[in-house]
Amino acid sequence: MKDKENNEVMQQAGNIFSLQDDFSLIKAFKEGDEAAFKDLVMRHKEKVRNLIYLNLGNTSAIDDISQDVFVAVYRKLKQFRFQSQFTTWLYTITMNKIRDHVRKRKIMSIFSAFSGEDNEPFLESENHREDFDVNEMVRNAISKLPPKLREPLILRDFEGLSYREISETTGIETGTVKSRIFRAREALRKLLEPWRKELL
Amino acid sequence: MRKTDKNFEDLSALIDDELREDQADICRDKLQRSPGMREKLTELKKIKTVVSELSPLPEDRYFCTRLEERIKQQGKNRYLQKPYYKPVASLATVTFVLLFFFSFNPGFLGDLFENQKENLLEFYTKNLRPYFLEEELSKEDVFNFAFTHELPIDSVSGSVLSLGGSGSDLSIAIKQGSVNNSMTLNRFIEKLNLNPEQRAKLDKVLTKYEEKIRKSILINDNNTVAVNTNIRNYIPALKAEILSIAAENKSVAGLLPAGFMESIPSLASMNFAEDEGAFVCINPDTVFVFSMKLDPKSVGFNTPVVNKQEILKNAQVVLSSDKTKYGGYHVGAGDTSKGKKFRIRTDNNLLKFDLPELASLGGGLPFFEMKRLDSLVDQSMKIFEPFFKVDSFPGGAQFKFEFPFNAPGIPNAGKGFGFKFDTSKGGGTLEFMLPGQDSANFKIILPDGKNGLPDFKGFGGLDSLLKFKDYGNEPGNPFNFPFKDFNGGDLEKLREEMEKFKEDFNKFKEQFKDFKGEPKKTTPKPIEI
Repeated sequence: MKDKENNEVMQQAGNIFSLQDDFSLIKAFKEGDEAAFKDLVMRHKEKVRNLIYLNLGNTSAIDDISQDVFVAVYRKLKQFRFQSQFTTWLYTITMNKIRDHVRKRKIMSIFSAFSGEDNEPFLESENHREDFDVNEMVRNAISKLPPKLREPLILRDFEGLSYREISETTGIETGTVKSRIFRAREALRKLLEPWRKELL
Repeated sequence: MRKTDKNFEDLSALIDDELREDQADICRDKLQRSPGMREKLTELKKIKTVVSELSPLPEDRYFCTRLEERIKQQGKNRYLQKPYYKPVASLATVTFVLLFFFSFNPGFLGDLFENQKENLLEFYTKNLRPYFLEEELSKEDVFNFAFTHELPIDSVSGSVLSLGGSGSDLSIAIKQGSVNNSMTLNRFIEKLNLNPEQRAKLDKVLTKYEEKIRKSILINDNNTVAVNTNIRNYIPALKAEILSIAAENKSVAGLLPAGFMESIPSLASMNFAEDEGAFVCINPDTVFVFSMKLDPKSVGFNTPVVNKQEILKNAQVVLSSDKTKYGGYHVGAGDTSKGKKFRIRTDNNLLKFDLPELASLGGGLPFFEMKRLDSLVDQSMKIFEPFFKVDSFPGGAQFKFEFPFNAPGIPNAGKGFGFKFDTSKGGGTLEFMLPGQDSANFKIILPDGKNGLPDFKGFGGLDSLLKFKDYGNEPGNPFNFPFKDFNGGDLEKLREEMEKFKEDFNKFKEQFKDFKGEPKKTTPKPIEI
């Protein structure tokens, strides 16, 4: 009897799991269930927001870009072919939006003396340790990395993607991913060297 | 890549669990044997931890609400997102139609542009009329224009129009400030002791140029300021005519460079008809040169333009724009140079035109002849710049004059007007202490050296300076400083001259009193020498 109950619970859990699975949600959305899209957004929005935040630093554009990402997802989701993880696809869109934003910002900076952004990354000097904030310090250091090193590092260490998924998301070879992640870690270590005692 | 880096890279992949099993085994083996590898592993792990443990952003609870709203909004504008082929097809159709049309009407576009250009030109040059009303330009202004090349254009805000150039150049600048000229018309008449007949002649010349200048600077209600390019030739012509009157004074005639008197007719021929010419037109949209003939008898030619100071300010913005170089077009009916480019250079608030096509408009005079005459006039004008020359001047002389000077409204009035001549150190200084200046004094550092003070340019207009004048061997430098031997009595002579300076300055003070109001009556302080 107990076994039967357990089986039922497991089956229910399996159903719940499959209902909340990305692919199931996408299928439901394709069949006209708009609420499934909302579930998908709820599930991934924070990852997307953080991915943008870490790539761009503290910028007021996080919300605009993340909204753009999901608007693009909404428009293209019906063409999703289930050939890769949804997250890989989502992160690819996110990275493209981030690059678009950086490109636009560069163009804007040509026409304006001010970039209009409040995200100038900085690393405080040792005399300002009284205001030491580990998170802020690491974020600033990450934002100082070149994009080609920063993107795979964040996708690996913050988002937890495998090298293969990073390769699919960024369009670079797995071997290059491995090499860039190592170089990113090395560069980050050097940037955080003055705060070695507090951080490392 | 170095072997160590490759090993470290493998370590990095090892902590990510991304090495194949055989690679991982090799890496672990190396780890056991190498303390350096172990140290690196610890470092890499720490870095990985630091990044993976970053606290996320606070959750955005209203994200979905805003997203839904945005998607709904974009859904309404769905018609904007038509399939790509539609605009492409439309574009192709339009291109095909245009190609078909132009194959049968090849001149259409050119005619269209030409018509548009004509329409724009008509718009920008419509009702151009003199900037200066008759009463706004005085003979004094015209006289000053000959010496300074500047005209007062806005007495309220205090700005001047500065014109220059010769031959094919014309430079136009609008500057803040007032026309600065030490040689005033009255002083000129007084110094040369002009008789009534000569005065009438001078008056006639100035009246003639007053009208020419008036017709050379135009403005209209469509924000255009136009300057006749001939105005650059009025300057030497006007100077020549003034000089020819001055030359009737024999002492002046003796100072003029050889060939000047003979050149006066040629100079006068640079005196063009003011009613026509090529006008540089400046407005906030464009800068161009336009040949036209004025009609002073037309209705409205002498009608004042409302807000002309404002229009001029707009032109000033154009002049001060940060453009280094661009081409323009010289346009005008019947003009052979039509369509040819000229060059405009701007530097700060100066707009300089190189007008190669217009060089031939120089009153029929060849370009080099114009340059020669211009240079001759400039050389002749030096007779109005008094300067004294000192061949040698031993150090150690020091003179100081102070004149109490008080006038209402003058800053630092109580400080007095002073003059200090000090050669005790090196070349020495010539220091003026002026009551009306923000910085109370200004100094001229005299040239240093054993034979100091060569070619020192002094100040003019004071009769006592004539004492330094030597009509001897140097017509170009008519003033000589005659005091050389201070141990042999020249010092006393110089002191006497300085006393005469004092009288001159007192006269100056009197003149200034009339200008600024009644000065307070004060007892003059003793003079220090």
